[in-house]
Amino acid sequence: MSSALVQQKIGKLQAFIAKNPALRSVPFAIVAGKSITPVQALSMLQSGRNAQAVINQLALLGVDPPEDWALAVAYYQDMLAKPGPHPKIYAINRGLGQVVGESMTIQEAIRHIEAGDAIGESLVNSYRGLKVEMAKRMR
Amino acid sequence: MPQEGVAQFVRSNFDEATTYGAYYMGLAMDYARGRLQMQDLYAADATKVNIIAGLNELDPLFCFYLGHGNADVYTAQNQEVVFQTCTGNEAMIGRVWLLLSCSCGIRLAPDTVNKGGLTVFGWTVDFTWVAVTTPENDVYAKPYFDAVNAISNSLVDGMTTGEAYNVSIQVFNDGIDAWTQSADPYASMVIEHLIHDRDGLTLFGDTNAKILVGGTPPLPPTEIIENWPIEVAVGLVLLLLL
Repeated sequence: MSSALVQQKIGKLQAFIAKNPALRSVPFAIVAGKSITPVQALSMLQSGRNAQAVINQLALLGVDPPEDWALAVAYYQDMLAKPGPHPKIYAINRGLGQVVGESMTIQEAIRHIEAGDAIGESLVNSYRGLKVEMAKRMR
Repeated sequence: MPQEGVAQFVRSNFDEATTYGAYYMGLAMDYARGRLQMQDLYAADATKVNIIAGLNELDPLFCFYLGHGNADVYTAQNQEVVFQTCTGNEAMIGRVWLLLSCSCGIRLAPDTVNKGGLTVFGWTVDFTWVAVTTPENDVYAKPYFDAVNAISNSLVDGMTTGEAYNVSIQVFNDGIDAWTQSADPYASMVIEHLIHDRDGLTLFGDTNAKILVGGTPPLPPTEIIENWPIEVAVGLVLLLLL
């Protein structure tokens, strides 16, 4: 388990707690035989106590499941294996808050996802949108 | 008070990404030709000085801007900072602003509406697209910018801002539907980023605003002010009013 992943979950939980104070103390999972709330989950991640179990429980809730990161890598690797020329991904962002960058090759996209950085997270979120669309069309 | 039927287009064009936006905004201008009085600030003319001068002199109700941005900043040519959250965006009070710039919907757009901007269309995510060749030939890039231009075109057709937003979402959805039926090897990438942009498009402010109330073309109906010195543009308007 990478520290970047733990930091990412901590950030998400902190944002959740700040934006949804009414839900901060609602038990949502069982870890080590005890129910935990978002505040307790945050504390456990920050202390490193049962961090993997907390992350697994968040994944069960559909909160940033780790398999999406692996699936997104597999998805872009599949794109890379297709005959060229390969399209690039473009954006019009600037400076702080920049996520994608002006343009990015598929190889660069894979590297960002594997590194677990902000650009990778944005790409994984885009991939999740595709998954949701697939699920909608499979129903 | 911002002038109905008058528009300012800012088409930054200095890198690969802005080349696409500038090209497609040109198509939106073609659509509006004869129905809007337009100022086109293109490439080297897309500067802060020219933008502010155009706003002051022409007082456009509709502004369609392209440029790199983030949650708090809109930039024009060569990433010159033009507007920031809390700084300078008072210039957009009373206007309808289509802000094709990454993530400005997070803070800059709502801040502008809080200050009195009439309506702002912005993205709460980075506006992303995929492309493989030049803008005029790229079938992958087209559906993204068609959905953006649908906002401008709908407003030119006399629709409200809320209606224009709905049309744009429908164009995004039509693009997604069309590409799901494609055998193109990269069709899923096109869909992926169309979904991303569709879900990030946000309308702030008045949903009933119009840039052409009653659809009556303003004077001069066929005139395009493209890179003209402002004195010439103002002179022309005064001449037509005499």
